[in-house]
Amino acid sequence: MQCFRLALLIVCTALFAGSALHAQQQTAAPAAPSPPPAPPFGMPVTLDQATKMADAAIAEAKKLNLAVAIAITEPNGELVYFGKMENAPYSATQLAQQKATTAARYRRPSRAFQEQLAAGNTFFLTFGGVIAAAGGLPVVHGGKLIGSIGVSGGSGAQDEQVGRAGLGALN
Amino acid sequence: MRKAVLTSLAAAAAILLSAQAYAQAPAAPPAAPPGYGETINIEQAKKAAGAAVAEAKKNNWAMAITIVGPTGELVYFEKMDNTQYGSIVISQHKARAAAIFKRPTKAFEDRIAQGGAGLTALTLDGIIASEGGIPIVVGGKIIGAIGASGATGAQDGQASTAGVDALK
Repeated sequence: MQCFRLALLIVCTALFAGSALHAQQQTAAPAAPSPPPAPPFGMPVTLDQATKMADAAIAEAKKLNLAVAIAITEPNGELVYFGKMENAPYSATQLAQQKATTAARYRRPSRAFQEQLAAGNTFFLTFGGVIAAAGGLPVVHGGKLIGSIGVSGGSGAQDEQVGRAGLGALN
Repeated sequence: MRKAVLTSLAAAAAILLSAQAYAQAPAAPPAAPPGYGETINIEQAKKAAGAAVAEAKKNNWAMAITIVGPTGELVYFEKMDNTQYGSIVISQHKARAAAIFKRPTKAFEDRIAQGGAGLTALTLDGIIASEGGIPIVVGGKIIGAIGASGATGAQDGQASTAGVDALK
């Protein structure tokens, strides 16, 4: 009987210690950002869709008096379309493609990484191919992720506005 | 009189000799390539790429088309649906090589096909020995280059040529 009581005590103590440890771990862990629900992958953006989006984006950039580079990729980040307006900086050539790849491969606007870094989630810096700047947007069509558009040449907000104009041409 | 005959004989011999020497001389070196001009703008690039894509469509080829500026920097790119993924980078490489070496990439293909000293081309940075990259010359200046990839070298060259011709 005494033996049984001792065993019970040990089990209870172990359980208590375990749950306390668990609670401690929960409070110690950083608030991990929950990824947005991602739509399923569809067939990659076609060249016709891409040129339509790019034309609308370039029209928006002209309206804003901006010289930008536009990149449109498939969900895997492979390039489908690229256009650099006259006098857009050479840095935009790279950044537009990198923003598009970020948005495609991580299935979220590249702005999300800018916000995460601002919030102190610096571990995102270790992620490959991440550009933490607004201007990259996933392209969702018919409820499916079919690619991304990346814009560079203006401010982050302007780049994203140009990108959204591109999305608008598709939907 | 005899002196005159001798002189004319000597002159004739000299002409004959020099003509022979001329015939034996290696082919004249290629004309100096044009200088570089202002970078091709997006409207021109779009026109060239559009013509290349139209040529590819007409022949039922799926291709990636790249347009670069004189320095090989990307200006414009279109990948047709179902183009093999390998062609994305190859079309960019062809365009870049044509721009930075001021010659069609077929020149490298031909040079390497000759073997021997032609193989030294393999040691040059940035070349690609495959047809399909062509400089774009407008107003006597190289303003960029076009590169096509997705079909055979000759077919890639045909699409690129259509692109270049659209700006003439």
